Amino acid sequence: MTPLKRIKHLELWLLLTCTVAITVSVAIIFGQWKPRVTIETLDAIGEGGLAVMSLIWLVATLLSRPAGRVTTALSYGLILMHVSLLLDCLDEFLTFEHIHPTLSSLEAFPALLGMIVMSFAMYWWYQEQTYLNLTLLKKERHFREHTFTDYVTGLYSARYMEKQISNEISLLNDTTRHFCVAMFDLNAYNQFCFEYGIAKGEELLRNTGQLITLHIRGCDLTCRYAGDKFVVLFPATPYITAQIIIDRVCDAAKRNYQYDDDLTTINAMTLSAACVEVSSDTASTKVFDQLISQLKQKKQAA
Amino acid sequence: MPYIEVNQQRQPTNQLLLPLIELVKQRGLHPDKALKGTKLFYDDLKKQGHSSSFKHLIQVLQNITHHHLGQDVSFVLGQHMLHNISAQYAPYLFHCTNLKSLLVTCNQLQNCLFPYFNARMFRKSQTLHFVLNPAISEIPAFANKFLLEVWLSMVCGFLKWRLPDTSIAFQLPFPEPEYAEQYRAFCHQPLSFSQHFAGFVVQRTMMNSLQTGAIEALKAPLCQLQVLPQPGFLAHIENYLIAHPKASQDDLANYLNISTATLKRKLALHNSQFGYVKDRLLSQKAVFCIQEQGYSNAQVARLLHFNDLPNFRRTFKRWLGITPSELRKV
Repeated sequence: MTPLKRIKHLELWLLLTCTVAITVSVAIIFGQWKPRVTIETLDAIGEGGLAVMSLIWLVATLLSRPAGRVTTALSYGLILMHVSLLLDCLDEFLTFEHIHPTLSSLEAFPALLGMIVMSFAMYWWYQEQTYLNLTLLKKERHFREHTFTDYVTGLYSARYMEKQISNEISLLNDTTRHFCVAMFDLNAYNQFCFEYGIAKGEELLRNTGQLITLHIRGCDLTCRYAGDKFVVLFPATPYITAQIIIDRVCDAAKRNYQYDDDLTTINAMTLSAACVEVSSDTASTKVFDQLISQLKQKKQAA
Repeated sequence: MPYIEVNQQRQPTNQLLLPLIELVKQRGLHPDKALKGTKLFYDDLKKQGHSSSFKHLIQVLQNITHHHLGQDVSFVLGQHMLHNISAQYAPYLFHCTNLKSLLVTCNQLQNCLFPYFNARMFRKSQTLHFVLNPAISEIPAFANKFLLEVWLSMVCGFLKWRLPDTSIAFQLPFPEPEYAEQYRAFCHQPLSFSQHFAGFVVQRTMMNSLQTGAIEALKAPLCQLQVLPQPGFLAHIENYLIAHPKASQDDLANYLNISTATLKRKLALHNSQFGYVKDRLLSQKAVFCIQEQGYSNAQVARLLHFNDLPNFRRTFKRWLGITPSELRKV
């Protein structure tokens, strides 16, 4: 693959470059420069600023979004809007009245067309987001904050779980339904890393996060606590039900194998779990401390 | 020179710098960005026997702190170092029968195992107190925290693995961070934050805790190591000042066979000053005597060679921001 082909959205970048180049060239070739005294500086700065901002939005869209229908439509719409704003800015320096007196009035039409295209793009974006939300089921609850995401597993971090537990605790006063929090710990994770390296270890953490997510209910929430520990929130769930789900997750972990690139099995993972039922106003850090000490006791007993 | 300076390329790169670069690379940061300003190339780091300086490490730490790579990088790196060190020094460490023997070996190997800190020991009838001081150069706060987390993760990982029944209390000089769960997950030992100095306390009763699977006859003697690495610059001068508490700047310069002006320049290069190093050593001793041994102000002042009590109180307040009596109340 040539270096040029590796560029993401190559066609859209080319389209943007050509459109801007053609717009500026045509305006300069066919327009007549206005006398300096007639140029309104503040107007030119304002309209130039709008053109630059639309260009920044466009570049941000192309850099951040994956290829697809939504990105293409957003880019087309933003390119058309940018052309309009660019013409509006050039209008401050160039006049086209010698070609046709009403030619300058047409500069808003690309923006209109762009906004129509953008409206379709927004609708498709909404649909896309609805599907994406489905994939985040069991990983997110009522609240989105990307800074709380754990880089290794893609799950939310302990900070996010703290907030969720605090929310559940605040609901305890309104309802009599208790909730449970469980902590899972990968057994012999250090030995695994020692044998296969940190990269494989992080892959194991990612897989474990997915495995836990797969074996809990839609209303539950999985987060990574830290190290080889995961926390699961079971809202409005009695201890017995939570324990059944925990046992299922642990059984599933026993049957799950890690594979190397050449499909040789490298390890069967086992999980230790602890669970607490929260029925009174408690700080989320205390819940975590209880879970950690329970896990420690279980491991020592084993 | 019998010591390692901040810009001397004498630290094996594969010990900490290369694993750090690999780890941040896995987390999406390009190695060139991490190495910006070090004049090192990623491909060179992977060469056998490549060495780098402490200054390089600090620069890389500064580069990576601008990127959000997760709060567990230092702890994961500590685990990685534990594996590296275990593989390299297993014959010396794994057959120390008990904690006492292990501490003695670690003290002798400290420039190999973790050359960035120098442990200073204080003895009490029931406990041993260790204070960690910077070994090569004064460390900026962000890097000090990172390196302490690496060290803590490594040490706690070793204890959990080889001496699971041992309890050691660790003290950290910064307040409990927002990501305290990382400490709870990686360090299964008692931790206390916002302490005056970094260090750890070992109960003498713990000294006989046995290491899992250790056989004394299989322990390799340290003389098998061809060359023991030299201590860092600050560790070297601190060891001299501990042995010669009344030494002046000129005495230290004579000891190092350099002029006083060169000593000042060297200390400035290591972000330090003679007075700063001496104050740190004296303040650590004063805190130990007051907090742990219950000495009176007069006793401590006499021990530290102060001429009068008000002068000691004033100096103590300058060191720690609190008076000796306030420290007793804490």
